[in-house]
Amino acid sequence: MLTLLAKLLHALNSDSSIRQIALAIALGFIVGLSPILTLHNIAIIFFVLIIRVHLGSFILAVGFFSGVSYLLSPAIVQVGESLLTQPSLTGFFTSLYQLSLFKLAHWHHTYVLGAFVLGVTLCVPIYFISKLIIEKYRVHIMTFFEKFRIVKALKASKFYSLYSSFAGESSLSKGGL
Amino acid sequence: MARFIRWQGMIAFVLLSALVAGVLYLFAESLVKSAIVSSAESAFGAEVNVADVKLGYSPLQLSVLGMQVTDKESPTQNLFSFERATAGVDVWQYLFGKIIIDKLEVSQLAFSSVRSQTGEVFLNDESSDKEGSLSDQAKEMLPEVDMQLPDIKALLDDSNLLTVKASNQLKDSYKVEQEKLKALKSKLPSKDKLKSYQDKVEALGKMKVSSLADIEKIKTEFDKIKTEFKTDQALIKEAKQQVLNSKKILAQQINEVKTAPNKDWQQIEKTYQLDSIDTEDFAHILFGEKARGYVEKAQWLYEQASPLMANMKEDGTTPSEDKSHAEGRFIFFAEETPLPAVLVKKALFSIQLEQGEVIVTGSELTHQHWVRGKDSLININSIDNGELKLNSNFKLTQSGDFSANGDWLVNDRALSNTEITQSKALTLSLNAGQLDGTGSFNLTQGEIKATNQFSLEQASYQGEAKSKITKLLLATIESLDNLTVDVGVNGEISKPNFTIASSLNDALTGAFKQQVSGKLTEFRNKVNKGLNEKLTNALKLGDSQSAELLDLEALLTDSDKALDDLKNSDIVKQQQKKLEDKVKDKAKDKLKNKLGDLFG
Repeated sequence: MLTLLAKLLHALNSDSSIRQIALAIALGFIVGLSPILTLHNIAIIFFVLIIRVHLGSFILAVGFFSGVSYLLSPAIVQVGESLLTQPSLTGFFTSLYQLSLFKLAHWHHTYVLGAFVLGVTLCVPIYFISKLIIEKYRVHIMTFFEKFRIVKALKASKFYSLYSSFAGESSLSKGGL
Repeated sequence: MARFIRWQGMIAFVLLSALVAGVLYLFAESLVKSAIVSSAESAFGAEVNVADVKLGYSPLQLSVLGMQVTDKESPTQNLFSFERATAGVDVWQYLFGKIIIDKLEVSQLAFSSVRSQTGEVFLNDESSDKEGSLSDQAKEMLPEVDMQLPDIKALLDDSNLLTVKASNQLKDSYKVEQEKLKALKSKLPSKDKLKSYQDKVEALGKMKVSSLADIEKIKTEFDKIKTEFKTDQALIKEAKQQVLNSKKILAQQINEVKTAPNKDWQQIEKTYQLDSIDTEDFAHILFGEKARGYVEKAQWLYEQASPLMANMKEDGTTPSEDKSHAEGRFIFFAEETPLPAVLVKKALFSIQLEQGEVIVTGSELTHQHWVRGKDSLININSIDNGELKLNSNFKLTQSGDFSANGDWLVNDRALSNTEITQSKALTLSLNAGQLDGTGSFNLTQGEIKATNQFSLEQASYQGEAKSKITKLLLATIESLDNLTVDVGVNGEISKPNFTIASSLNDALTGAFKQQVSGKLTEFRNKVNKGLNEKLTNALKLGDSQSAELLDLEALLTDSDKALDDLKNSDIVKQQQKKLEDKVKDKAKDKLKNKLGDLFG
């Protein structure tokens, strides 16, 4: 866990593309919101593995948003329920229901569909918000935090040595934490 | 392209997938086992043990071995247990969110088997605080029916008897009326007074009248006497009215006294349930206990199955309630070959009972019968001991109405050592017998309607009776060659009504009724005799009171008549006539004298 957190901090502080980290968080949001072993999650995981997004950020985002999903489950189910039971959409869902892929994806389950729809809808703003925050972090927050004694103390800790092993000399020379 | 794609990710994905599949493969059985145990423990509220779970993958088949479910009411026993249950699951439908079991086989299913270790109980059901079971209540009825008849003397001395109450009331009323009449009597004119009135009137009649002034004087005197009459006559009339009222009150109370013994007897019958001692009650007590036992089992099954079906229904048709964590549900849409959310296409249970092995087969077992438009069918067969058959079908409609139909048949089933009843007054068990029976049942919207006919032949009984009645009952049952019992169950499933008819009734009618009725008749005669004695005494008093009243009434009538006669006496007219006659005679004499002088 510490390793993973170190990787994330390294990614935030390093030259890793801001877009790669933001995309990892946005995709982690979709995966985290739904039950883990669903068809669309498996597809996203496959996508995350083969495109260059930051894996550490993705795994942390999945963990974090799984917790959020648990707390928001009534709302997620409500979204799925209202969509699947909407009389005007019955024809649409009935035709989709004839496809095995639809049923295999469990999109006729209120939780799965609610989470998927919310995930897909909100992943775009989450991508841009994440991107903005990381940019701000790199410019302002990182330098602001470096002034604190506690950060200086942290630099002497085991965690920092672990972090350094991922960051390498170059990152230290570029400012590091 | 390479800037965006990392091809080694593909390998990672394959490795990751293999890892997940490997973990699932290795731990699937343990995971399924713990899932079965936890969900069963949550459903049955007591410890559940599963020896092993086996998974076959082609086709997907789940086997549960050695499952034991603790009976939370009696933790040393299992509610049920089985050696092996195998279910062939349709994988494709499972991935679509449906549990479709092509074939379910449960072998060596047993109920109430003894556990090697006492099971842990997690939930205490409120039903443990319930009153005694229906069968216990039925058992308690026997000593009650055997109750001794009440002591006649104590019964007749009971001050609450209507006969006693009415007699006492009659006595009291008589006293009150007598006081009233005494008070009036003292005010009434005495015989002397009446005589003096007569004397005065006679004296007026004898008075010599020579002028109109004398007539006027007689009239004035007679008016004076009449004024005195009037006061006395008013008193007599008042007394007569009082006598009439008293007669009315006493007549009403005498009537009440006359009807009281009959009412008392009815009350005695009701209080001591003498009217309900009937042979049919014994058929109810002896066989109703068993019938209620079976219906209680059916009720238990119904009560267990209903909430399960209702809960399962939530998965498919109703939204879940708002709660802090929601799990959602599948919503199924129309398709070419629709399937319910849960379906067991075929089931086979082998049940081990004391009476032998019973095979239960089922088909179309589901809680969503409307999806395929087919009823669930359950057939029970046993040929170990005679023939036992039960065919039934049930269905649940989309609106939640549960209905079931069925019929059963038993042929040549040998019974042995079967307890019929055990109470303080009578213990009765069947040593051996040959049972035949048929029946049918229908359950619609919580209303049950069932008819069942049993016939027991070549029966031998063993029992002990402690009272005269139960001894007779025992002797009558033992003497029967063929015992038939017809049991009807009607009404709400939660509180059904039983009608039980038996050949025992006919057999008992002769012997039992004769004895019980003889005893009852003797008792009734003694009680009625005592009540009639009370009635006679009360009526004697009533008769003497009536005679007294009649005497008084006659006296009053005579006095009233005498006064009337005096009042209506024409004494003044008589004296007036006398005076007129006198004047006429005088005038005649004068005229004669003058004519004599004239014609000389």
